[in-house]
Amino acid sequence: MSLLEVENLRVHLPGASGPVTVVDGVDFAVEEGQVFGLAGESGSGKTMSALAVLGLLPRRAQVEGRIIYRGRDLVALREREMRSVRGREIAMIFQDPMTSLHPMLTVGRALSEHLRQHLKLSRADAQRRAVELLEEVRIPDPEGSLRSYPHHFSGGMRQRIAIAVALICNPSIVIADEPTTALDVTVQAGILGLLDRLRQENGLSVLLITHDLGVMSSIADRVSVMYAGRIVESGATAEMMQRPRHPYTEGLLSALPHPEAGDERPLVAIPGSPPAPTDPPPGCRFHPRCTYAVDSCRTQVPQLVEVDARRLACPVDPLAVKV
Amino acid sequence: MSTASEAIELPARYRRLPRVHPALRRPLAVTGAAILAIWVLVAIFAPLIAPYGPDVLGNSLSAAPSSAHIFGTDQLGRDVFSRVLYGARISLPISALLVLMSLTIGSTVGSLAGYFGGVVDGVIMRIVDLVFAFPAIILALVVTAVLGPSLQNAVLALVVVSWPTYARVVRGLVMSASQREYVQASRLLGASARQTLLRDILPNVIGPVVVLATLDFGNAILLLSGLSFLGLGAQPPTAEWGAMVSYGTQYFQDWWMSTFPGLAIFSSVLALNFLGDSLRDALDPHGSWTTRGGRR
Amino acid sequence: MALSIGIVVVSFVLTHMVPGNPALANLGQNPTPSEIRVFDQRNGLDKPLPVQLGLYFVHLLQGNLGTSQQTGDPVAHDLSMAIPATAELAITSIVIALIFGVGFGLVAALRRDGVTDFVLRILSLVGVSVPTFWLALIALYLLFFKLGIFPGGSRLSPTDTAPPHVTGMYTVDALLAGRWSTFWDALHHLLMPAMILAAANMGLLTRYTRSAVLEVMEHDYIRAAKAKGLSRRTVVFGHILRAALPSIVTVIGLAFANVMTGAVLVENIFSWPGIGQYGYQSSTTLDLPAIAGVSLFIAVVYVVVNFVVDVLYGVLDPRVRVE
Repeated sequence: MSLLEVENLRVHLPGASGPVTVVDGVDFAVEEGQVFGLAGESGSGKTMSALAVLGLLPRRAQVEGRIIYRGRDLVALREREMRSVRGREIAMIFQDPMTSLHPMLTVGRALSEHLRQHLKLSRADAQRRAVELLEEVRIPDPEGSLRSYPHHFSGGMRQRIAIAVALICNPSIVIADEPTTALDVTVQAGILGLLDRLRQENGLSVLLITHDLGVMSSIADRVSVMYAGRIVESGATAEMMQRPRHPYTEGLLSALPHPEAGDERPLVAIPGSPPAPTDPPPGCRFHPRCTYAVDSCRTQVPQLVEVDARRLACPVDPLAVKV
Repeated sequence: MSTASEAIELPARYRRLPRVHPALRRPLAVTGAAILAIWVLVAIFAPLIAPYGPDVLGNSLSAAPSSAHIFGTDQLGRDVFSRVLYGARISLPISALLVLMSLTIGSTVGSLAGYFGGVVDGVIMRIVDLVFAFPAIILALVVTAVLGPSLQNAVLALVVVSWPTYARVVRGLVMSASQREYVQASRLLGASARQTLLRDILPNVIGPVVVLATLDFGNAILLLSGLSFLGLGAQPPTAEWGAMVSYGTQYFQDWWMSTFPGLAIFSSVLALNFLGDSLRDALDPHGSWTTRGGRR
Repeated sequence: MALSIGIVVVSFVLTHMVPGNPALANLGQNPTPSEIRVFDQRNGLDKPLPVQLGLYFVHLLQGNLGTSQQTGDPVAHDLSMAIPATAELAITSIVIALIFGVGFGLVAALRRDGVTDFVLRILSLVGVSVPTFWLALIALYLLFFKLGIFPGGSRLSPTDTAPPHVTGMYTVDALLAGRWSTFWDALHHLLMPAMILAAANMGLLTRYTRSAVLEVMEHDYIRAAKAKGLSRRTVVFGHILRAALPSIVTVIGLAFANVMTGAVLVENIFSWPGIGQYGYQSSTTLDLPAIAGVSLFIAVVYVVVNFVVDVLYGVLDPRVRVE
């Protein structure tokens, strides 16, 4: 049994003219000690899926489906019970460390407040644990840093602090929402390396959310690609990166530079832009931008089916077309 | 629907305003506008609506509200209802005049400061700071005291204290509008200061200034009636609301003498604030009181 | 500094370059020319204006604000009697406005767009729209005259005597002297005028707090606080309100200006022997030194309050704190 299983998740947000479905029947599973990736452009519903797991969707959002964590359905939990899961069992790292740490609270407070609430530690024990975590994420002068405010640190250092905040209660899953997107390229590798090391040392599972397949391929074990609220393809990362089978996955990959491969392929952007969630196209939601689209794509919604150890929602297999 | 045209920011005068401003469809705005419209009509048609003249001395003195005198009568037998109606002819237009004067002076001074910057700006803003250091009513107290208590002097005093608000707001708006590319471009093309200010900058300034003036209108009514209440504005027997409330305090048990004129002040100020607040929401959706939704 | 000198010059010029004749205002009907001469000489009104201004500055540095023509006492002495009464009223009123305004604003923001929000919005608009003097009269009529819940004015019951002078604020002095019955009596007299003065500021603060809190709630660090599983109370008070506090504090300067304006009206209605009443009485008798002293004092308070607000802002927001 997987640590976290999401089944047929749907999220509806209130819109000006009736509810808008931003996540439309999503399934995925996070295994113990693995990194599971959700990929897709902004607006594809990946962040909403993650927020649904933590029960942190906007106030009037509606959630359908099941989110099973260690045998409990998180969707059905009461707010009070959910609070003992958040931060303690499932923690979250946000995209922009410049805004995800409270600017007026010290690093020490950010690290210890939920630690003390969840684990009922004494002030001294909490402080000791906070120093330990800051050492683990390689913050220089951990003791002194406890009394500092976030603005004293650089973006990369702040993200390290945010990771320490997420990990301090020893959660079993960390949701990392674009953890490197807001950082300088030179800093990104360090943060990814840190996440990977912490996962191996602590047996942590990670739900990684990013639009950057380069980041994905460097640490994720398995990936699901989302488009306009639905999963279009999922499978083992290495496999999928080498041989994408959904036209959208292929498009995302061709838009990615490969300097290390010395590869001469031109960078190709996917034409058009994703549909507005208020007005999704019928049939396959990708068909207006798809170069392989056939007539049935315009009318029939392709089902996610098992193909060669992978799941694919496309009747046209680009590999077959190409070769 | 080309994306290129969306990227270019058009000067405000080319953006079309919707025929019925969305703010006016909201309940508070509608309530405010309705109350205000009633008061304006009352001010215009007071002689037709009022059952008695404002200064007609009747036979029943200090009479409680009855069918003959729905707001009662005062110590001299004057009909309070009629006096309240006639009062609209003083408080509303005079406060409007006061706002208009402060707005004109403040906007002119503020746009000069914002447009030219430098020494002009420095001097003007020091003066503005100085006036801000004195609460309105204290300055008004001094001015009306030395010029003598009268409605004209009270208006003069309040203009002296209220123009800096406009100057400060307009200065900021003009400064930020001057930074816009199309304004800079038109300056480079040799437009005169007058042209640039009136044609390119003014449309950006007008919205916030209208909101400010609406809210300030209410404030002007409050301050003006406050001064009259203290005996520094309109003098008896003028049927001015603040002066009538003040008159009523001498006959404390006869509550109707000051309650109804006060209610007139309250309702007209409240209407203006309902309206101004809704307009402010429409102009500045962030942190506004009515827009919904949050993050995506 | 330049502002302070400007304030002195303005209050002097305003009160001296005027057509009104203080001698006539103070000596009653038809004074003889020699009476006027004596009066002018005694009050330094026979010298040229620049000389009067110079003398005013010199005296000011000696703490001498001139002599009130109305009371015959030094203006500085009159002010020192009136200031504690106004301070007690103003501070109490600001505290009341802060408690209710910030509370209402917070609730309105948390219940955004709901019925509570709408009701509080109307309440705040009523607060800023109601004429202070009229509200005072209505309150006096109902709460004093009809119901007898509150006394009808002045600082103490006629049967009570003022506590020994320490701060001049009766509630504080009564506590210092351990005279409980006097304390309750002073508080009883203080509450109604203070609440009436608080109405406008309560409206102002409700509106301001609401928009500050809504702005804060958009930030990722609030979502991060929820993701840590903190209790609702900690999120609301420890994170949301904490982050909104600096911008709420900036309104206190404006609130003080409102209180001084209201004090002129309320002190006259409640026979409260403070600055407002003193200023009003001296303006009706054209008591020039007294008016100059009052406006000078109020301008100085304004400058001091704004300075304190700046300092407080720095204390509350570590990002602007001087390192």
